[in-house]
Amino acid sequence: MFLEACVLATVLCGFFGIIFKKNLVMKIIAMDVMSTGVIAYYVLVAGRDGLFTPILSDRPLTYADPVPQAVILTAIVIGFSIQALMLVGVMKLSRDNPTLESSEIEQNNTP
Amino acid sequence: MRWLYVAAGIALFVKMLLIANPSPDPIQPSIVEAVVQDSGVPNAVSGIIFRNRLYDTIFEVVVFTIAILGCKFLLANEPPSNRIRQFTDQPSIVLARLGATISALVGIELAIRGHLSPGGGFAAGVAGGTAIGLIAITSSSEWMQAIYKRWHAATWEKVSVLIFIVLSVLTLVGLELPHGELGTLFSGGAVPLLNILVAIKVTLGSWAAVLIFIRYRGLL
Repeated sequence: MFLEACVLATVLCGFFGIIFKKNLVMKIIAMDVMSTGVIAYYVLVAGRDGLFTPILSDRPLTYADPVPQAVILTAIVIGFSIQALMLVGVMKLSRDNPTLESSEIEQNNTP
Repeated sequence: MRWLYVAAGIALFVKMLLIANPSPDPIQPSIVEAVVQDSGVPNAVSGIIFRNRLYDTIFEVVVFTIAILGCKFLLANEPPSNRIRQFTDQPSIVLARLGATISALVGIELAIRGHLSPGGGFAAGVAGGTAIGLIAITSSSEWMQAIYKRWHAATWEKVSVLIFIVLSVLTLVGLELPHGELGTLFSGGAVPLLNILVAIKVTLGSWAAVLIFIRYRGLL
């Protein structure tokens, strides 16, 4: 319960960072915090019935659930590649808008 | 408006904490045993990724490829950075090389034994990418670029993606290699091959990303 509260607090911190921070780099970092929280939540769900690594061994163990782990592995890789792409986009935007404030960028690009 | 968002977030937080999320009773026999029996590899997570969720994994690899290509295309019309910052002192170079050697060995181990022990293709690729990144922060960028060109790394990356897609389509169609003895190095049908292909792909992909960032930003 306490762990779940911590994980959810991380997710919400990231979420509020995405919508309230004006700087684009801060938004990307907040998105990373949020995805870390989501990954931690999946790990928490996977460890609900047992804590041992889901690799078959001879001793009778209570394994963790392998399905959430496999699902979230996808999100880790996709998160990494999306982050690289977003940082490149921010690098390009920073040539014209050095402050990288989202409101400034919107103002500069409204005809 | 801001306070409305915060209130909604806190309400969601309380809702998630207080309302129980029920899980089905443990299935008998356990999921791990069922997956291991179906896929023929002891590591159930590898079994799920490369067999039960293979369709998903194909697109994961495709998205990774497209993201790296996107970085390359977005930066293609930028002028390369004219000042490249890196470590030049001897202790950093020795430590980075030592770390890179260990990281590369770990990467190979994770790739070839990923179906038996914790690990797998993606983790192996990240270890290989770390090794290349450590070398890249201490040696000259022209040299790295020359090695990248000489070994046709970009071509190998695309070839490994194509082989991965063909092999997974064959697996999805229903052609399966013999499983072999459970728990040995050469077992599990296509899973070890897919692991190695993903490891190659992720290593070369992160190498490409590292080179792009160093070239246009002057810094990793």
